[in-house]
Amino acid sequence: MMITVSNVTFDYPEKRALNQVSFQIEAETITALVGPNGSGKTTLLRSIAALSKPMSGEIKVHGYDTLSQPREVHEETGFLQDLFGLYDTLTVYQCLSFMAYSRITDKREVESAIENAIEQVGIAGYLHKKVGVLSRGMRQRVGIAAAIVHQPNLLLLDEPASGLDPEARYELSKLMVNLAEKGMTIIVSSHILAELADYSTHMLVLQDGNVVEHKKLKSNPISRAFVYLEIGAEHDLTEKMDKIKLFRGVTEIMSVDEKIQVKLDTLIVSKHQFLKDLISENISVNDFSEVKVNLQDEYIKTVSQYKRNQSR
Amino acid sequence: MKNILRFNPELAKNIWLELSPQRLVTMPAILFLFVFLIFSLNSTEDNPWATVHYLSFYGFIFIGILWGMKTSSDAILDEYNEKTWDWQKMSSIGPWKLALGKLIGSTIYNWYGALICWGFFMYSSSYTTQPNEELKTGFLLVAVMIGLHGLMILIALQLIRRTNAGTKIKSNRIFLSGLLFAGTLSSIFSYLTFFDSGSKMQLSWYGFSIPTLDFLLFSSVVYTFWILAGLYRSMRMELQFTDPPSWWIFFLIFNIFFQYGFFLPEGKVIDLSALSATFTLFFVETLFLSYLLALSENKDIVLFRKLINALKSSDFTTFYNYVPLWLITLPIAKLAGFLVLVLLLFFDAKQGLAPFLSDYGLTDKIEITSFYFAILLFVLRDLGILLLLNFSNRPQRADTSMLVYLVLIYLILPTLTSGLGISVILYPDITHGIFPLIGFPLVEAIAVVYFLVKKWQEISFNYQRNF
Repeated sequence: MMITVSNVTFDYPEKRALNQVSFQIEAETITALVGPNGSGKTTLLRSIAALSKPMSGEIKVHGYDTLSQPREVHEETGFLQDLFGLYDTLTVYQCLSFMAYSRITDKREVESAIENAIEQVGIAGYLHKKVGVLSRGMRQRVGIAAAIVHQPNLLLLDEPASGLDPEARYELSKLMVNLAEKGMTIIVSSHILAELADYSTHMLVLQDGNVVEHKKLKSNPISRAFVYLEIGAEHDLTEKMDKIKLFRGVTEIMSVDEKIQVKLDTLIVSKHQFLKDLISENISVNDFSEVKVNLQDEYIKTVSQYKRNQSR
Repeated sequence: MKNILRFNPELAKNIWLELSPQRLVTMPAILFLFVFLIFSLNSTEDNPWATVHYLSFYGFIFIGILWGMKTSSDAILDEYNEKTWDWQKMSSIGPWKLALGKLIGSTIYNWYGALICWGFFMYSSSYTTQPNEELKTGFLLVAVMIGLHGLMILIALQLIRRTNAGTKIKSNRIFLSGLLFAGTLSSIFSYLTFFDSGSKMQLSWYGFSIPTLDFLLFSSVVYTFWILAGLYRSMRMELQFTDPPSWWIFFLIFNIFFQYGFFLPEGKVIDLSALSATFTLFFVETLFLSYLLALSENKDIVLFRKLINALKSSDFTTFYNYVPLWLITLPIAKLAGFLVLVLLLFFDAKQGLAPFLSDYGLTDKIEITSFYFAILLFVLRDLGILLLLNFSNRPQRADTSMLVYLVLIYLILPTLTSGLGISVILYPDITHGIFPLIGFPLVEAIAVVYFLVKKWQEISFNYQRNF
């Protein structure tokens, strides 16, 4: 596990921000941290980054305890906060050099790490510009480069897309997937749920300092080997499912709303081949599509359920 | 630059930020222009270097010390206000390197100008009547500059620790408190060296007769070391290390030994009268520090809940790690006061305190004991009120309100009501006898503790009801 959070409670004088929060996050996943304002998202991210100390409970990042080993956690983590600051009077290259030299212990690796970060976020053309003159989107990229320059295993992003134009948001989505594919574990808190759906593998819902939901999302942008497919079938659902589960590449099967949902390993069999197999086996198919998760719907459903439970 | 980046990235960053080519040229240009003007205007005088010496002294104080104090406090507050402090907290720079990078780096431009002034000051010493003393003064200036800059960073770190995230902090308050401290320090130095001109005044410390200036230099270096130690610990706290306040306790103990040297008669190692005088001074100092720290440290409910939970579960390590410094200093102050009481009552070690005791009209043992307990009760009242204000629904201005209250109780009201006989309600005053001396603060302390307990119960009830 990359992150293990056990019974974490975080109090502010006027309110409780996190209430006995527990969950685990696997390595190389992208978790969408969602919840309304004041639900405890930023406090949770700061606690995971070993920047704030909870009242009680334990957080481990890659096995390191945030209370007793904060410096090891800092080495493991890159954190881009909401309203982060940069040194506006430094050039982009000076800024990244400072971040790299102050975060990487083996100084021989610094120069290559800087080049790597520049390449990953695509800011090569801006290295000698003062940070203060950059657009919001470009500042965001420099911020992400600064957060990943020491090649952390864990990247925490608090509202990274706020204030970005659509193009910059699209670029950010691509970057997230790219970083996760390179082995980084990412937690992103955002209000723009539609966008999180493009790259998140998991969703963690916080409400009033409680974890309301923590689930794996069906559409997984990282592990492209697996896709969720939905097959429309008007009758003989059970019989068809019994046949399909024996097909090559099918790892999971279930019925949802009179439809069959299949998790297919596309490394074993392609979607195209799978459809061919269905037809050759005379299984009538009136709809065949990839299941895309609607994070907004999932979130609203979860929060409504939580509120109903609370009111009982 | 790469070498500086490798050695200390924080220092390199500050060089980038502070030393532009334009600034590098401006500072020496102005300073050398001043020297040129002095020589031009004093061309008929015998000794223009004496004027250079005099002005370079004040140049060092203005550029190095005062301006540097502002820059050093801004160094932390700017990072905090501009949201770059968390980057630093997550860096792999160690606490000592970070402290050094901030201390030297943020004030590097001030050092640049101050060292030019210092060069003139040291060189022109040979043209003065006391060249050796002037050279020592030069080193004293450097020690004071490092110490005061360190102190400003220390105060700034203290301030950001108790400020809610998102709130911008202005450096004016820190700078003013630093100026107040520097002013006090400068008055002490001036007082001690005022009588020194030409006569080489001596101080007696642990029976050794030491020239005043030498002693000031020694003390400045030693206390600068303690400030740097405090800065190191404070930086560790910022980097999220959990450290017990042992350094602070060592510092307080060091002060006892340091001050004992002033009272100890020549040829003696233990002297009860010197001990009672030392502990009295220490009692006053630690009480003052308790108030100062109580006003400046974080006092939110969460901290106290954490401390109480730790005590309830007998987790003394957690308690010791998180206990605020004022809660450590206060019992030490009480202990020092108690030791003074024991020395006065059982060993009759009054010699060093005779003027103090007669000033306060404390003639017998009962009066002295009552006075001690009256002090403790008034302290309990004041700090209880401070906590009540901080536990209120609007704690934002609690410490400022407390400062106003303290000024009112101990300065304004006694002045306005002198002769009305109500001073005994405000502060320890023996003139009305023992019963009012103890009675009034006892009632006040009980009332404050009662309200404090009620408030705590209310907070706990609301807390448990919500969760």
